[in-house]
Amino acid sequence: MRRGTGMLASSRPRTAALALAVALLVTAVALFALGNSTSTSSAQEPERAPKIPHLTEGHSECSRCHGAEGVRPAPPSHADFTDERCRSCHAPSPPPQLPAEEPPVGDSYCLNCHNNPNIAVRLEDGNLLSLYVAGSVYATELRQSVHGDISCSTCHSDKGAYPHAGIDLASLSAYRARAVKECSRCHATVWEDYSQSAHGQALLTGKSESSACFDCHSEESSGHTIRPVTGPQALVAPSAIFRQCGRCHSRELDTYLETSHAKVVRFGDPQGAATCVTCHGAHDQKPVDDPQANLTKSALLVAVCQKCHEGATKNFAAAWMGHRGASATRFPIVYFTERFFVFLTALMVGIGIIHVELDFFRWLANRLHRKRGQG
Amino acid sequence: MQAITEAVSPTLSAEAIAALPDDALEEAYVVRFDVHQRIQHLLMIGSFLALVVTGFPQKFPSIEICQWLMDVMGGIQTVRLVHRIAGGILIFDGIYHMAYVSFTVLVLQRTGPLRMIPNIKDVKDAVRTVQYFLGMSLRPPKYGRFSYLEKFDYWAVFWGMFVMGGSGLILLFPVLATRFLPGQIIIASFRAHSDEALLAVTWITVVHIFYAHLAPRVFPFNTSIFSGRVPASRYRHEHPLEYAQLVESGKVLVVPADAPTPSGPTASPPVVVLPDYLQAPAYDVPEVCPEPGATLGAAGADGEEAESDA
Repeated sequence: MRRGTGMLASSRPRTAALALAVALLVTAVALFALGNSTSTSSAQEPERAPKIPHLTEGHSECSRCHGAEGVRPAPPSHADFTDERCRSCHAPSPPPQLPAEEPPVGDSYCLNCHNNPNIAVRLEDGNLLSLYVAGSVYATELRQSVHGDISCSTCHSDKGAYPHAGIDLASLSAYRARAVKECSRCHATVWEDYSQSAHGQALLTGKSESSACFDCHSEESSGHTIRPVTGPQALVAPSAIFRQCGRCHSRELDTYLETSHAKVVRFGDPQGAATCVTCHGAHDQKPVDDPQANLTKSALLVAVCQKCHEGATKNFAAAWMGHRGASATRFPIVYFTERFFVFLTALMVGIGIIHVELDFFRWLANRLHRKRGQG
Repeated sequence: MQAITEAVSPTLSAEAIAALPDDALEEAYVVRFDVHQRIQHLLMIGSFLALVVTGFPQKFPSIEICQWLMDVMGGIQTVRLVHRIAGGILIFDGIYHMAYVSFTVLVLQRTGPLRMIPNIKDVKDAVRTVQYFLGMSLRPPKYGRFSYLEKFDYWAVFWGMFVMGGSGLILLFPVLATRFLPGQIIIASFRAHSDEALLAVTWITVVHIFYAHLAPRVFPFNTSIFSGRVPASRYRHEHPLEYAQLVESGKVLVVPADAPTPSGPTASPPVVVLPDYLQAPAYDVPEVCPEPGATLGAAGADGEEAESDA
């Protein structure tokens, strides 16, 4: 019922949307002409400046990300360039899968429906996928995320028009696989690594549940709360990344936290000891049983150690216990050292405490005895 | 120094000295440690404390207070540097001690340090001491230069020095270490360094703090390792066999009671130093009766101990 009224209510905005679309089309044509004229002027310059590898829609201020303080600072020679100057050399590369038409409506239009806590869609496998975007998420959390100044339809590129084209999602995994492709439209370089990685392969081929972009880059596994990759808020900085990885890889996290690497990392060592991604890679993790992975064969593992430990040998790399504990047959020196010190500590502390206590109680008993004798 | 030059040989017989009551020995003392031993202990205290303060936060990064300590001390890099320097000082101290012992035994041909080697008497002493603690015997056994507990303490530190120094160096130079040793040794060293550190700190806080500070006999502070001296009134109870030997063999110096003896005689310890008024033939044993339980101070406790011994 509720859904039906929604449909009816949308008929008026639909007419308005049509008018808006026409207006936008005119603007688009004008902009296209303008864009052509700038590209001809830049064509006179040598083709050295790389194209902008992401959408420029919503990214009006280049300096926001490419300033000296930004996530991806521009070279120092570009220090005081204005945004116009950036665009005079760096052509915006139109991403391949942009919606054919400009979205006819703004974010507030989307929120007319999506601010309803009950809005959800039943996927083909029977699961319910909530489509609710809380006001605070939209107004605050999204604004504070790295994607604070882009609109809904930039990422939800197939939902730019209403009614939305058919909802064809079979399952939550399919939804997640669809979602990471949205990320790839801007983050093309990372996509090359991710789509070939253990995570990417599992998710994209639907073989198993695996990490999507927003699982690591957001605490809530939500594309609406993507955190910056550096700074105190970062989830993937060396001092925090292991927690993100540990959300799924808990055994590996536990064993990692036992290592000297983890201890100094957690104190924010500026020299930067090894985190998960130092050995496994950031976006291009391979399964550890993959023959191509560096972590399987000891000969290849040496190269991983040598990233930080200059002159490391095969013997050195053999110290790595592979996220597992020691046993009498596996890493016996470590195992028996551990056992020995447990025994030694219990013995020594036991002897020490008992000796001190007995000595003290003897003294106390002597004293009391003497007092009683006098009294 | 002056005290040495003015020292005279005792005219009191060994029996007379041995018979002096504790009260008469208030001013007398035994020089137990020489300057090298005192320096060695000072170096050890300094570097040990620095190592604990900079080492323990590193062991527990998940504890908030360790994170705070690390920040206060200037961050992991500074803390790590201080830890390594302090470790270097402690290793130097160990080498200094070994050299000192070797020189004393091999070159000076003195057997003093060899008395630290455990023997069968120590086992018997330990058993009899526990019997005394449990009320199964009336008196503790008589100890010599080093009691069984002092020997145990010494050898615990001796072992700890090798474990901590060795594992610390392996952790500092892991690539170098694995040129000669299996890779596992790095992880084993990491565990050993951490566990032995915990053991050492527990031992120091439980046993050493008790016997050097809290034990009624020495409360609040046994200063002998810093001054080299122990009051004779206490020494004769703590190390009765050695005290008797010193008196018997005439290792007794008599010095003017008012002589300034800032650092004690340089005569090679151990030696019993008596104030000269004890030489007076008319010396009367003062009728001082210590109030039992008045203080936990050394003198009071000793008075009581003597009473109970008598």
